[in-house]
Amino acid sequence: MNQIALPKNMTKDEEVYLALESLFETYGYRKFKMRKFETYALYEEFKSFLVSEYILTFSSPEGKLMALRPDVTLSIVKNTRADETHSDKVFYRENVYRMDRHTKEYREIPQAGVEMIGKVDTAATLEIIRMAKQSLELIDPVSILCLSHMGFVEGILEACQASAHERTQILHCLRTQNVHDLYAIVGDREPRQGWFADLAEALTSRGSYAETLAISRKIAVNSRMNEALDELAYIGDALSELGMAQGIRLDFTMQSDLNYYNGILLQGYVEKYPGVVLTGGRYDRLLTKFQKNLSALGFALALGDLNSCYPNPPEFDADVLLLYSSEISPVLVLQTADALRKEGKRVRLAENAPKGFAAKEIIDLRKEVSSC
Amino acid sequence: MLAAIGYECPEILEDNRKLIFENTENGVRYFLVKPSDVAIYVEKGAADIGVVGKDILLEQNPDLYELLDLGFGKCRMCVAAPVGYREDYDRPIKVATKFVHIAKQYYEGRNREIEIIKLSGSIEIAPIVGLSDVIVDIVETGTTLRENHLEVYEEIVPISARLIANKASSKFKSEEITKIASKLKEGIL
Repeated sequence: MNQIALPKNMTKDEEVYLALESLFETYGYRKFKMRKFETYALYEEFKSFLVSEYILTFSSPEGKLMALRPDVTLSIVKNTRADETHSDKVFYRENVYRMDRHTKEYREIPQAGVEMIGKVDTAATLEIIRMAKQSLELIDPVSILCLSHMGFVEGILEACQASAHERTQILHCLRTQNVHDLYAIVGDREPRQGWFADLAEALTSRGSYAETLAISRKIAVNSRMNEALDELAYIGDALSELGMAQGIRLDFTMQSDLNYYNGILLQGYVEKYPGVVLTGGRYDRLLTKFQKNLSALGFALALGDLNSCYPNPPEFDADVLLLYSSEISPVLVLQTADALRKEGKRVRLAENAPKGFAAKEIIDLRKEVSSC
Repeated sequence: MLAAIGYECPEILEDNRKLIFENTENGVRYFLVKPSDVAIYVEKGAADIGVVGKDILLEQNPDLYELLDLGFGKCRMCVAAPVGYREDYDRPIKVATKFVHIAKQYYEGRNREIEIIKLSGSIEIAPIVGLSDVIVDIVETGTTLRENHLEVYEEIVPISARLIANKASSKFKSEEITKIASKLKEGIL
C-alpha cells in the first residue's frame, strides 16, 4: 500500500491534533466519533455542567428540539460502554459550539481530549496525568500542568463554616487568588490564628509540587483536607519516581462545579497561550446523575486559538509556479509538472502568476517554448 | 506606586499623546487604556498585570487573578434614589445603570424582580425624569447625588483599585509578578 504523504503546510492545530491522536493511540485509547448534534433535553438537564449556558438549538423535521453540541463529555458519558468490571478509554477530536464571553457570538471551537470511565484507580490517574503533561508538551515544550483536589477545596469551605450564599463568594475568591476579599467575608471565623495568612501563602505559592504541598499541610484542619493532601502526596511521590515531576505543580485556585466533580483536577498552560489550554478532572458525581455507579477522569484541550498564538504561515504556497499558455501542448505541461513533483516539489500550474502567490521558483514554459 | 518599587518609567511624565511607554532598563512596558478595557488586556495576555477598579471586575467577571487591594480609588457601588423614595413591592423596580451585571446579581440575591435600563452616562438624570425608580452607580463623595436630589438608598459593595494578573503569566513569570505584588503590599501596609 502506498504511504500517505502529510501536507507540508500544516497549521499549529492540525499539527498538534495529529500528534495528539498518535499519543492517545499509544495508550490504547479508542477513537470516539459522534454527531454534531444531540437532543436539547440532554443539555437542558445538565446545563450547569456546561461552560456556557447558551446553546445553539434547532428543530428536527419531526419537531424535536435539537442542539449543536456545546460539550463532548456528556455525549461520551451517555454512550459509554463501561460497566463495573469493564472500563472505557476513549479519545476524541470534535468541534463544540459555544458563545464567546466577550463578543456574545457563537463560536465553533475545535477540541481534543480523553475520557477514562469505569474504575479510576491510582494507575489510571497517573496515566491520565502523564498523558495530560505529554499533550501540553506537544503544543509547547515550555508548559506547566497544575493539579488540585476538589476534596481540599470542599475542606476549605467546611473550615470557613460557609453558608450556601457564602460558598459561591468563597469559591470566586479562591479562583481569583483574592484572599483580601475572602478575609472580609469569613475573617471572623478563622479556624485558628494565622490560618488566612497561611491560606494566602498556599494559594499564591509558585513553588514546586512538594513545596506547595508542605505549605498546604499547614492549613489542613479537617479530614477532607488531609485526605485530599494524602492523595496528592502519593501522586507526587509516584510522579517523582516516574521521572515526571518536572513542570507539574499544585494550584488550589482551580476548581470545578461541586455538583459534578470530585477528586483530582487538572489545568494546563503553555508559554504562548494566554489562558488555560487544558482542563480536566475526576467527575464521578456526573456519572451518578446518569444513574451509573462508575468513576470517570479525563481532560480536554482547547485547540481553537492555537494558530494565532503559534502562527506558522507558510513561506511559499508552492515550490514551483509553472507558467504555460494555450499554445503549449497540455501533455507537455503536465509531463513537466509531473517530473518536478517526482523530485518532491509542489507545483502550481497557471497561465498567469496568481495574485499574492509566493513560489520558491518560477518556470515560464511560454518563454522556453517560444525560444525553441 | 510602581515607580516607588523600582518600575519607574520617566516617559509617562512627558507631555505627549503616547499610549505605550517603555523602560528597557527595568524591563517594563506600560499601556494606557480605558479603565473598562484593563481586564481584557490582562485576561487576553497582552499585559501580564494591570491596575483596575473592583467595579470593572465585578461587572466583567474576567478569568484572572486579583492579587491585591491597592487601597486607593475608594468609593462605593450603591443603589441611589430620589430623596424620600419608597419602594413599591407590587411591581418590578426600574433600575438605570451602566453596571448591568452587578445590578442583576444584587437584586437576584434579594430575589427581587427588576427591569434594567442600560445607560452609558449621566445616570443620575434617569430617576428625576421618570425613566427609572433607582440607579445603580458608583458613589464617591455623594456630591453629584445631592446636587441632583438623590441619596444613597442601599450600599452594594465597597470599591477600590486592585492589582490583577493574567493566569498563564502568573505561571511562567511567577517570580517577577510575586515580587511586584509583595513590594506593593509592603508599601500599602
